Amino acid sequence: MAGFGPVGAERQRTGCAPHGNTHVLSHMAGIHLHAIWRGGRLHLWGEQDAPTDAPRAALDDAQAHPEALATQALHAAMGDLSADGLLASIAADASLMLWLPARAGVPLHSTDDIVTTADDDHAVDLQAFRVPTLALSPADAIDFLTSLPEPLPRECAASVAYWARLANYVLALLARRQFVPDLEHSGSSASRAFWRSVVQDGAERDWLQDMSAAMPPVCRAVVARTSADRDAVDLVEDFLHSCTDAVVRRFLQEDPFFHQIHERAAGDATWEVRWLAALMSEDARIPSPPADLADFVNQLRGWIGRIDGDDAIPTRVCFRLREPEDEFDDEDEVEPVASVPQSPWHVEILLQLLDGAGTLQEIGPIWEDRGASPGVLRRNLANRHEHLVAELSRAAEAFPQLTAALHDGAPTNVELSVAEAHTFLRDSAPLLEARGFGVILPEWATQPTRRLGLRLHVRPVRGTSAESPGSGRLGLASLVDFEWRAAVGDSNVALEEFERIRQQRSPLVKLQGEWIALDADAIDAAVEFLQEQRSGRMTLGQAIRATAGAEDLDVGLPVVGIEGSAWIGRLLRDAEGTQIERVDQPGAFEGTMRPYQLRGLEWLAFMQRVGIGACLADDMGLGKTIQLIALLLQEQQRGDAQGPTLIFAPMTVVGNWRREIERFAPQMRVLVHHGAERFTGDAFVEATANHDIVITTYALGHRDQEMLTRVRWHRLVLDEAQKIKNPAAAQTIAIRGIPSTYRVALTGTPLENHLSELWSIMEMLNPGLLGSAARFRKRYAVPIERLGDRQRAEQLRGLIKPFVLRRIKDDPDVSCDLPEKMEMQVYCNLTPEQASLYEQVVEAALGEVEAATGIRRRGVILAALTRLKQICNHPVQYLRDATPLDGRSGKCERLAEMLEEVIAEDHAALVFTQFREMGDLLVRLLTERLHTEVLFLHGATTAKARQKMIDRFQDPDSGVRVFLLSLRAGGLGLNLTAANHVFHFDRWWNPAVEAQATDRAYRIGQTRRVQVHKFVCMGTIEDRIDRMLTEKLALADQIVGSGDEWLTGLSTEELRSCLRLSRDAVGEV
Amino acid sequence: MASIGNGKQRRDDRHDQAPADLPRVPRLFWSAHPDFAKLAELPAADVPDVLERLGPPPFPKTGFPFIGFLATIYDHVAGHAQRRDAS
Repeated sequence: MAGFGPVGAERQRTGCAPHGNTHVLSHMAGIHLHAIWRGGRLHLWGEQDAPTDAPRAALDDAQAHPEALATQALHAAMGDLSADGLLASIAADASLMLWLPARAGVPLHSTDDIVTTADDDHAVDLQAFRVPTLALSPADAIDFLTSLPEPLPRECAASVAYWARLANYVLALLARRQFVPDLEHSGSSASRAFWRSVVQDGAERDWLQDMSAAMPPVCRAVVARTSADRDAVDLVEDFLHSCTDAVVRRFLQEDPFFHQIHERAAGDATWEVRWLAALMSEDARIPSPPADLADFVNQLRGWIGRIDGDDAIPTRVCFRLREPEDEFDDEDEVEPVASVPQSPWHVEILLQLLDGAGTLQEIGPIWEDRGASPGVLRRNLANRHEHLVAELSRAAEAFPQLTAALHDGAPTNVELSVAEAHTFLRDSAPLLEARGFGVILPEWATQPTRRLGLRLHVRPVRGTSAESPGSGRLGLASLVDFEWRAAVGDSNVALEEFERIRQQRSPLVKLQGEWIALDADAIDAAVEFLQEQRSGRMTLGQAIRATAGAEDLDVGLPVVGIEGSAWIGRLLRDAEGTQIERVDQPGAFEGTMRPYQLRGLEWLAFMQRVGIGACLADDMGLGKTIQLIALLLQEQQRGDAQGPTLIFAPMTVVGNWRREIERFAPQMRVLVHHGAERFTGDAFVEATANHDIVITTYALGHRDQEMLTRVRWHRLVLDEAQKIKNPAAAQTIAIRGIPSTYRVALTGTPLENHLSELWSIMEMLNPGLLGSAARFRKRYAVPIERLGDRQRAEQLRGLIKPFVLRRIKDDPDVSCDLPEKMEMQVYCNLTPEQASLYEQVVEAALGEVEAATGIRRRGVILAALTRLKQICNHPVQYLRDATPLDGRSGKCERLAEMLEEVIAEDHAALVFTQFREMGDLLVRLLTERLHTEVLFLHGATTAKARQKMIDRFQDPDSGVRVFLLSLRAGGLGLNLTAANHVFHFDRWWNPAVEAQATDRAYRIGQTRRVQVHKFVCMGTIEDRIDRMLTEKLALADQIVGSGDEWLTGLSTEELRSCLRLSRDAVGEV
Repeated sequence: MASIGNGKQRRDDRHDQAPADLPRVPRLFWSAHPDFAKLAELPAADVPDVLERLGPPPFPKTGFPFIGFLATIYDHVAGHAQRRDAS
């Protein structure tokens, strides 16, 4: 740039010296430069300070500004100003007509500050003058304006400063990625792709608005056809968008990477690729017939339109269905039960904010173009209109009535007839939702229960024994009288109303004050069905299946439920017994039953009275065994039992059954049928006649099938009924074939989670209820387990509900009856191997004891005791060999079974053992069996590792559900409240020590009930000591606190009595 | 609902008559409003990323990485603009 020089002039200029820069550029000296944005170009024009030799505009134009610089001088001045000298060369020569201040026909210089009064004969006015200009394209304009020196030279007028600031703003927007590609689709043969700026922030829009308001009026002084061409807001907007488009294109064209798009756009490219190519070329057009592009334009409008909200929250078009107004305003006027009001339905068109709350906004204001203050970027508004029209056009594909409304230009609402409203509900609404539109329907339209259907009413056949159950000869095969009735929700619909509904032939009917949707064909089918099969007789099983959709009945309308009278009603109502009568526990029951157990007893008894197989599926620990024992006792008390009850159970719980029966019903005669020495043939049949209960194992169900079927069983009980989950297994088939008057299944696992198990158990209890295995699989198992069909799952739940009673510990009716800490013994058997080792050790010890005295005798006894404990745990703990672990310990088998159940219910357990080596064995065994990580904390665990284990166990997301602890290590200030089951695998025989261990789980912070399971090997020293502690015999006082020492004081005979293995100790696992 | 439009009427200018909305006082005619000086600092609000706000494009998926290409464009343009701004 040239050096300084005084701003010399014969004519003093005052007033608006634009900037304080005292640089004087050589060609700028004595001129003032102005900038005007017009027609998508930046026009620069100049005026001289004083008459000079600088070329002037030609004077042959009567309207020529006499002092305006000619373009030659402008080129030179521009070259001086800009750092990019080439810009001056490429600027195009042009001219503009401007309204400029003048007096007496002579334009005033921009620095003249003449004040005149109204009565001045030579008042200043605006007059049109032509000025030569240099026109710059938008991209060149940005280059020029952003390359001007800061601060601007004084020769640059306010208009130059103004556009320079906006030019810098354009670059700032681009630097912040605030621009979007767009498409102008005018419906002609070509569309134009372009880039435009985006202003998302309210404060920024305010700034732009203020900038528009601050625009020097000269920038709006072009002589134009309409005032719109001089509007400041439009000029600002046009400048921003035009420059954004030009600069982005230039940036992209400079990089060869983006040229690849042109190759892709050739040939059979998609519209979006062609659009991208047009965004990066000189030629912004996409030639195409309008029809071809319409879909693409609509999609694009919907996509880009998201940006143009007035706030950052995107919106979507939403349709709300409105019912017709009530026609019965007069309170005296009685509305018929079923009616079809003739007032129109309406679908309101709204905007819904996608703000999480789904706030709705009226659409009218967008069409009406009203508002308190103008939007600065009016392109937003134009886009919003376009966006809305495009979206509604898209919606019209799914909602055809919208097309006619769109023709009106500004639809806010679509009126529908009742038939059209039904079509909207049935067809348009789901399609609109699937396409991303909001759809709001009346509540009744979304409630599946509010529909017209058929309900089956059943009652016992009059005059038969089925009227009064008690004979137990009923069951699902009982014949019942039935009648199909029309119903809506819980209400029945009289036949006359039903006929009236049908005659109206309307797809929507107002019934009992509420709307319901109807299918005329379905109603006709229902009427036809009712004419043929409205009432009659069927079995109860068929009735239940019909209402659960398990029968192939074409009733036309949906089956909404079943209701029954008398005992059938009780069966069908909630099995948990809202109507259950209070019963007393049987007089002979030794112990106290909890209230929920009494309810379970009554339910079992009821099911038996009506001759239907029952499944008691209470949670582990709630006392299923007790409830069944109570049922047997009740029967015995009433003299109702006609034969023994056969209980199938896993070997691991046979001992438990025996103990429980001994404890609660000692007078019942129990035969345990297992082992090599069990009764066979006639001897067996004869033995069963002398016993009330026969307990056997599932394995023997197949092996001894012939023998078992010879007995007339009063009842068959399946404990841990999931053991028959394989319906095709020989064992299952064999057991199913054993005849009995009644059947009960006991299981602790939720049946719904294992459908093949469910079918097998139900087939055992109530044959045919769930149809054939193949049909069940097709109808329920595959849809539910593989396809997640909730409706089928619901149907199945309804089907089995009358036959299954399940309570969990958290049920309000149960939890209030339960103590915080529930302790129970788990009786286990020894395997034959364990029993053999046990007897060897006892014999050897007793032999040594005979011969020893004093300290040595004491040592022999204590050593024997330890070995016996080890044998009761697992042979490998005693033998210390590397032989396989599986199947050799009754306790281990039972522990694994119970832990499987704990894990299945997503509970967690602590397992205590006093032996480190047993802990190691259990980790191996349980890890393999349960396929889960098992933590083990013992005395040698470091403090760091121990804390890590505790943290992992307490973390519900860790997946660790089993924590093994040695008794002593586990008693050191640990807090393990994640566990709600505690297993004492082997006993310390010191209640205080055990309690301390147990309380790791049961303490402050524990929010659930804790179940404590104490393992006892039946018929062994463990059993005897446990009895002593339980029965609080005299010796118990000696045992407590003294560890094992008290045994050393016994005589040999007393010792033999304590240590011997009794017959019931051994079982197969 | 935010404001839309300014309610101004667009009318034809007359070539023989200067528009009434242009000031006749020279000082007012040539100068920016005094508020112009207060608007020197360009706004730079922290706003959502445009591509993020647009979300996935509505076009059927093809082999062409449409969004990736667009993101590259944004990176390129923003980089250029930042360099120009800095210089």
